Amino acid sequence: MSSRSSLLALALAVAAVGGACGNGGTPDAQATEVKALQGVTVPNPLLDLASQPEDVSVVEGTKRPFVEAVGLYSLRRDDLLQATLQISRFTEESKATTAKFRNSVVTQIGSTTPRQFRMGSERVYLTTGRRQSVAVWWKGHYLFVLATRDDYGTPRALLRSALEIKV
Amino acid sequence: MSHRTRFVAVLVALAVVTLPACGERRDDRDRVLDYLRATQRLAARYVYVDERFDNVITGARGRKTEVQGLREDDFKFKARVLFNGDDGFDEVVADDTLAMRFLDPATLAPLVNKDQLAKVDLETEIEGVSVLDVLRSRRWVLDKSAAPSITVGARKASELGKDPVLDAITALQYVEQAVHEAQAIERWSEDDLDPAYSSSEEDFPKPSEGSGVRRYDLVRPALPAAVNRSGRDENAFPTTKQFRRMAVYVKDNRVIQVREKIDLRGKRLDDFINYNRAVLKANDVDPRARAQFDAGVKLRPKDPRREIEFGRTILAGLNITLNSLGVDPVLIRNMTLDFRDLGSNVKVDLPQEETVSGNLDFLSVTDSGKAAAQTGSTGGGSSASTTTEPAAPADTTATSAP
Repeated sequence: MSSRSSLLALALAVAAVGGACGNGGTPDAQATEVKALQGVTVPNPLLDLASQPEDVSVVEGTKRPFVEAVGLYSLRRDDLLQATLQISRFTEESKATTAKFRNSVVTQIGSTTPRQFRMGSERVYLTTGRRQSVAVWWKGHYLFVLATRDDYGTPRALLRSALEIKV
Repeated sequence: MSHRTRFVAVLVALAVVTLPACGERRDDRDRVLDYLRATQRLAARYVYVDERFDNVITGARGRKTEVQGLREDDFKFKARVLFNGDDGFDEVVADDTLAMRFLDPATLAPLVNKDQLAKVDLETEIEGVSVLDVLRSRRWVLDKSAAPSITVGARKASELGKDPVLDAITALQYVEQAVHEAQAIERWSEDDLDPAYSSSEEDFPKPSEGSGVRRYDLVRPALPAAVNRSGRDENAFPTTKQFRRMAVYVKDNRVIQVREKIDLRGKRLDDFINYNRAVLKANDVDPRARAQFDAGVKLRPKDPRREIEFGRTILAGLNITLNSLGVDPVLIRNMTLDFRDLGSNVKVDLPQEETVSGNLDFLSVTDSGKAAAQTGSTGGGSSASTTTEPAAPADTTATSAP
């Protein structure tokens, strides 16, 4: 699988988790057409990594429960992918600001039970993926998923920088 | 209304008033867990003390380790570690960066992993001066990627004592695990007719009236049944939770203090002596050995302070048995945890002056140093890593860095 395919696979996996969240919104909200995310600026560089928006056309037009827009960013050093940042905007009807909905989404990300921590004023959930650490946090209706290679040297500083992204 | 009808009516009324308001009954265990989790998220100043005692059986010397720290968030904290009241070392973690300074260079050796030391590049920007030289000269060394993982959850008691700052940072998780292991949690009251700890054991501070402080005591589970032990069932043996006395002090829905004593005294010592007699009998132990046990019991001192030492010796004896069976030994210690300025604007900055950059991956406070130490290669040895006397809960939801 190419690196781009891997990135998209992760994006689709996260976009799909809303489908399992049930009891969240109206029938309309459960079959939303996904668009490319607009209006969120990811700094370039983000800490010491070059950030670049990736093509999410594969997801565009598909219908996903509760998710209305997805943005995917690669974070590279010398062309080597060090991390990915996915930002998903959930519909107003999804009740994405409730603890119940958020927990139901977060618990489906990663391969270990996510644990909650505090960085600055933000609550962050940490879990792991395949040879990567995964940080998840919410800002309003936006879900952020930062997946970092295990051998990247300063994952916490990168996470702190990513937490400053405004929506 | 007949007498019988009136009786039924009273019962029904009682049942109604005791029904939970919204179908979900929350007890003191739930409340304490909520307080612990709420406190864990807050910036704070803290003091953590782990006191171990001389072990007359193994000869291990006791030691008091104190960690005075600041926590800005889960990834920014700093601490000073003192041993028996004397300054030991300073540790600062700011995201991925670890800064270390040894105020007493003698405390460096126990934290050095010799195998790892051989693999690490010890050069610094100062020609001819190694990281070890800098540390021995009581100066700061900064490593931009050596910050230890703090997302390890509650740790095994056998690990406690090896990395005092990590012990302090994860202390509330340890308390949470203890709360889960307790038979029950009881809010302390002066007038309690059935308190968690009998008057022969009770020595935790009592909240003063009007202070707004509530104290919650952990009730110890009963000792295991004294059945015949031909198998190796771990639940058949007494462990730390059966000897742990712990009080959690709460104010404004935040934990402000924790006191723990894992020992054997007063009524609990009576119970344990009787339990041992029952075990010896149930397992058909030679009558001469049983007589020896009874002779030992007669040596029990009346003076309360000496009685505690007697109890610790009995627990040390129990640990020999548990160790030989591969069961986690009882963690014999006193622990205190105090918080101040909870939720305040505490800031943690890295040291700026007289710092030297270098690789600290050979220290057992780092993930690399720990990983190697777990394979049994911790070097520099001394009491720091040998006074620990273990048992307890492992976390099953370990989360890797950041």
